[in-house]
Amino acid sequence: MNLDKRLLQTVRYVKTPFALTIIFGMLRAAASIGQAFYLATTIDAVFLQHKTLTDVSGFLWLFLISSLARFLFSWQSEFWSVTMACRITTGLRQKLQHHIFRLGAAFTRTRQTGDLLNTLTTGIDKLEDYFRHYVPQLIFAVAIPVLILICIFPLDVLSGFILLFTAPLIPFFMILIGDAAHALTRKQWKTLSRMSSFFLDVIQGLMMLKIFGRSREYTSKIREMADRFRASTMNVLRIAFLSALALEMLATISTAIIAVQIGLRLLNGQFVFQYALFILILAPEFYQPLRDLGIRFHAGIEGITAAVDIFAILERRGTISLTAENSPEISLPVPVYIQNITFIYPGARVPALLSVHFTWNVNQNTAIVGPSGAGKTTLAFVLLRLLAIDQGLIHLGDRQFKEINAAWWRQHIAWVPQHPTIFYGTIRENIALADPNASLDRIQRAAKQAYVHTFVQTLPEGYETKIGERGSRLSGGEAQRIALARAFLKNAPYLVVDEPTANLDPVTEQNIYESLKNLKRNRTVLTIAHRLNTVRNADHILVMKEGRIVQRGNHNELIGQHGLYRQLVQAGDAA
Amino acid sequence: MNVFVQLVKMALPFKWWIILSALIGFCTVASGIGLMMTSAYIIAMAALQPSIAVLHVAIAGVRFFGISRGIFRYLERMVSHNTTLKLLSHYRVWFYEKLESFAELSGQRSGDLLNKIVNDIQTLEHFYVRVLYPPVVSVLIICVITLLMRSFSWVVALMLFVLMSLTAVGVPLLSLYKHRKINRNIVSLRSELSALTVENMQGMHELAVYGRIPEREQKIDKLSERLTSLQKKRTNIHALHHVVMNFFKSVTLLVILIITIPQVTNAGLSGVFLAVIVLGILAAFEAVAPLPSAAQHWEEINRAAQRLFDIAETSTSKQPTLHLPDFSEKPSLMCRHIHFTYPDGTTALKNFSLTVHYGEKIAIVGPTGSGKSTLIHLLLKFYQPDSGCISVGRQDLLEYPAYQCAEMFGVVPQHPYVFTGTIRDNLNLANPHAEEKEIRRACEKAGLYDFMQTLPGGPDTWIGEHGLRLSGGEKQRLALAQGFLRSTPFLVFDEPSAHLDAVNERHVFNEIYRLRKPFILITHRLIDLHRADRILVVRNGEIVERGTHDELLKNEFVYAKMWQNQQRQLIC
Repeated sequence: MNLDKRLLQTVRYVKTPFALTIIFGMLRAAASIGQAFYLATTIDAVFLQHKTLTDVSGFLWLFLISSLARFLFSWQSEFWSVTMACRITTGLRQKLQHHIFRLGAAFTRTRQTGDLLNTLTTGIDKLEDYFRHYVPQLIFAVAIPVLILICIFPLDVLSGFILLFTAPLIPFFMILIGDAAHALTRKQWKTLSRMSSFFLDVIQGLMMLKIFGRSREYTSKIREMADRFRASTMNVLRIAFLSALALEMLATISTAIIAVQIGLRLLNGQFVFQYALFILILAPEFYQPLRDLGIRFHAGIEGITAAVDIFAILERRGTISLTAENSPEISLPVPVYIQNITFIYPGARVPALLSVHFTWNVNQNTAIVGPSGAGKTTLAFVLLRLLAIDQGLIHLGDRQFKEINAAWWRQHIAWVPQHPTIFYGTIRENIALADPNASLDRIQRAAKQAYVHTFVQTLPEGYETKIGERGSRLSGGEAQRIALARAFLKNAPYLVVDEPTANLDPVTEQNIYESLKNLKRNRTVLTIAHRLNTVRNADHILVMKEGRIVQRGNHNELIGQHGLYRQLVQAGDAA
Repeated sequence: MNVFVQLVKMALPFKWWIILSALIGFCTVASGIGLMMTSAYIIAMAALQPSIAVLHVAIAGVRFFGISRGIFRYLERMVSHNTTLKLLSHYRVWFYEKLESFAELSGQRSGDLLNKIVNDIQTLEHFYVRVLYPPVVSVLIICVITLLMRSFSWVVALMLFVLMSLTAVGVPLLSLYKHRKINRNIVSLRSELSALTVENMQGMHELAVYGRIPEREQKIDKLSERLTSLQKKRTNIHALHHVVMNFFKSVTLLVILIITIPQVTNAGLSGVFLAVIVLGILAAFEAVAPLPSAAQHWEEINRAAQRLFDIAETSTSKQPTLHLPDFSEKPSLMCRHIHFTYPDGTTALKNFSLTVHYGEKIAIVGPTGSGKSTLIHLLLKFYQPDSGCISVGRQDLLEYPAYQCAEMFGVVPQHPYVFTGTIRDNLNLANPHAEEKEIRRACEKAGLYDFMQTLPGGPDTWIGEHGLRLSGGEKQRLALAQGFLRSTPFLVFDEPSAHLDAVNERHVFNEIYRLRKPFILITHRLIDLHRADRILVVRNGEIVERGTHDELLKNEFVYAKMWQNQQRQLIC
C-alpha cells in the first residue's frame, strides 16, 4: 500500500494540519452530497410536482449554499494538506542537510555531488507530493464512499448493495492487476531511464565521438534505440493500462446497472424519482475517491522510493560534532601521537590506512610522500578530524583525541588543500573564512604574506571583487594563494599542507613556495609533499604506500636505502 | 507563441496519430456524457410510468456507453502514449542532429548542463498529452454538448456555450497570470539553493576546519524555508484553480436551472429533459477540468523549448565530403599565423605558426592555461580560427567537413570520456575494424594490458556507467589505447600523463616516441623531450621559444626555467 513506517511517523509532527485536511475533506464530501440532494429535489419538484421557479427558489438557494460550502471546504482541505506537506519537507530537507554535514568526508567521498543534490531537491519534492496527495487520499478512499453509503442505504438498500459490492472490487482489481502492473511499470520506468541515460551518455561523450569521427552514425542509433524502447514500453503499458480499464469499467457499468434497476422499479411505481435521481448523481461521486487513489498510486511509489534514499542517509552513523563545547585545558602545542590507526572507507574493500603509527612532533615539519592512492590525504583528513578512525588511538599530549571536541581542535589547526574551494562572495569574505571578524587590515596583511595582495589590487573592486561559482573564476595559482592567506589569518599552531602539483607559471610557483616556507615557520606542520626541496628540508619523512608507512626517516637516511623513496626521487631526476 | 508554432510544426509528421488520439479522447468524454444523459432519461421517463418498450433504446444506450467508455479510455491511453513516445524519439534525434553539427557544445560543458538538456527534452514530451490535446478535446466537447442542448432549447445551448467557454478560457488564464511570477521566483531560489548545496558539499572540509558550518546551515535553512513558502503559495494556487473550476461547474448548473425551469413550466419543454440536461452538463465538465494544469504545463514547456531552440539555432551548415589528401605523398601540416579567440572572449592563440613535416615528432609545452589544447579544437574544426589558415598538403582544412578532419587527426584528449559499456566497446569506438592482435598491441603500448588481465572478464568487463569503475589513470590509459588503435595519418596527444604515476608515465612516453607516424605531443611534463624533433614553448597563447631540447636549455629562458622547476619535483 506504499506506506513506510518511518514516513508515517513524521506525520506525528503535523497532527493538526493532517486532522484539518481530513476533516475539511469529509465536510467537502458532505457538501457535495447536499448539492446532489438539492439538485435532485429541485428537478423532482419542477418535473413531477409542476412547481415554478419561485416555488423552488428555496431549493436553489440551498444548492448554491452547499456549492459555496463545498468550495470553501475543499479549499481549506487543500490548504491544510499543502501546509502539512510543506512542513514535513522543510523539516526533512534541513535535517538531511545537517546530517550530511556531520557525516563529513567519509560520506561525501562515497557519493557523487550530483546524486546528493538530486536527493536533496527532486527527492524531497517527491515526498511533498506523497504527503500532499497520496496519504490523505488513502483515508478519503475509504471514508468518503462510506459516508455516501450511509446516505444511500436508508433510501434504497438495493442500490446501496450494488455500490457496496462493487467498491471493494476496485481495490481488489487494483491489487490484482496493480501488482502485475506495478512490476511492469517499474520495469518500464527502468527502461525509460535507461533510454535517457543512453541519450545522456551519447551527448556527454559527443566530443569523443567527434574525435573518432563517428558522431554521425549515432543519429540512426538513437532513433533505433528510441524505437526499440517505444515498442517494449508499449508492450508493458498494454497490460499496465488494463487496471485503468477495469476501474473505468466497474464505475461506468455499475452506474449503468443502478440506472436500469432503479428505472425498472420506477416503472412499476415502486420507487421515488427524487431519490432515484439523487442516487444516480451520487454514483460517480462514490467511485471518484477510489479512482483518484489510482491516479495517485504513482505518487505513492515515487514517494517511497525517494524516502528509502533519504532515510538511508539519515540513518547513517558516524557523525562528528560541529559545535565547540567546553574547551579542554591543554596548553598547545603538544605532540600528537598516532598509534596504529586503521581506516576503511564505507563500501571499500581495502583499507585506506593500515596500522599507521608515528609521532607528530611539535614545531617540526613532517612530510609524507608516496604514489597516489597511498593514503596521504586520508591521513591528513584524520588529523583534521574530518574522518573518525576505525581502529587505533590518537593522543593529543596525554588526552585521547576522541574525547576532545572536534570543533575545538579545529580552531587550532589550519589547512592548505591542494584544490582550495573558492566560495561565492568577495575576496575579502573568502579570506575571512578563517576569521569572520578579522579587520580589513589583518586580511590585507595575510594577503600580503600569501603574495596575493598585488593581484587583488589589480582588480577593479579590490578586496570587494566577487569571485566563486557564479562570479569570475580565479586561476589555480590565485586560488592557492587565497587558501594560503586563509591559513595566515587563522594563525593556528598546527598546520596541514597539501602542496600544489598543478603546472603553475614559474613566478607564481616560486611565490607560493616562498610563502609556504614562511607559513610553516614555528608551527607543527604536516606536509603532503611533491617537491624535492620540501622533503629535503623536512625534519621527518614518512613514505607511504597502499595505506601503510613503508619507510621513515630524514632525506639523508632514506636516500641511502634501497626503497620506494629512492625510486621516487630518481624518477624525478631522470626526467 | 513562436515556440508554440515551432513545436506544433515538429509534431506534424505525427498528425494522424495526434488526430486519432484526440478523437478517441473525445469519444471517452462523450461516452461519459452519453451514459449520464441516457441514465437520466431512463429514470425520468420511468417516473412517468410508460410501457417498458419506450425504454428499450435507452437501456441499450446505457449499456453501450457503460462499456464503450472504459474501452475508449484504454485506447486513448494506449494511442496517446504511443504518440508521445514517437514524438520523444523524434525530439531526441532532432536535437542530437543539431548538437552534432554544432561544435562548441561538444567542447567542455558540465554534465549538469547536459543533464538539464536531457530533462528539457523529456519535458517536451508533455507538450502533446498535457498541453495540445486537452484544449482540442474540450473544444470538441463544448461544440457537441452545445449542439445536443440546441435540440432541447436554443437559450440553454447558447448559455451553456458561453458559460463553458468562459470556464475553459478564464480559469487557465487566471492560473497563468498568478503563476508566472511565483514560478520565476521558485526557479531562481531553487538554483540558488542548489548552488549553495554544491558549494557546501565541495567545500565541506574547509568549512569544517574553519568552523563555518553552523552559519552555512543557517543560510541553507533560511533559503529552504523561503523556497517552501513559495512552493506553498504555488500549490495553493494550483489547488484553488481546481476548487474554482468545481465552483464554476455549480454556478453553470444553477444558471442553466434558472433558465430551464420556466421553460418547463411555461414553454412546454418536457420535464424529462430537465434531468437529462443537468446530468449531461455535469459530465461535460470533465473535458475542461485539465485545462488549468495544461496552462501551467505550457509555462514549463515553453521555457524548456525556448532553451532547446536557442541551443539548436546556432547549428552550422553541412559541408560536402571531399577526397582526403594522398598520404603516401607525405603531405605536411601547416598552421600559418593563426589568431583565435573563444566565443566567451578569452584569447587562446596569437600569431601561432607551425609546420609539421610528415614523420616529424613535435612537442608543445607550456604552463596550464596557455592555450596549448586550443590547437586540437581547431584541427578537429570544433572551432575555426579568426584569421590565418591551417592546411594539409595543398588543401585548406576549412574545406573539409568536421568528421573528415577526425579521419586525418587522431586525438587523445586530456579529459577523455568513457562510455557506459565494456572496455572493448570503448576500444571499438576508436577503430571498429581493429583485429584482436591490434587491440592487444595497443593496450600493451598504453600500459592497459596488464590491468585488463586482472579484470574478471578481461576486455569484456563491464566498467560501469561512464566508466565509473575506472580510476583517472585507467581512463587515461584507455584513451591512449584508443589513440594507438586509430588509423589516422597524424596523432595528437594532449597531456597524456596527467593522471599517470611515474612508472607508467615513462612507459607511455617511450611508446609515443617509438611511433612511426608524425605526432604532436602537448605536455607540461618535460620527459624524454630530447627525442622530439622540435619543441615549441607556448605562453599566454604565443610561441615564445622553439628549438630542440639542447638548444632551449642553452637559451636559459622559459623552457630552461620549467626544466629546473621540474627537477625539483617528486612525481607522486
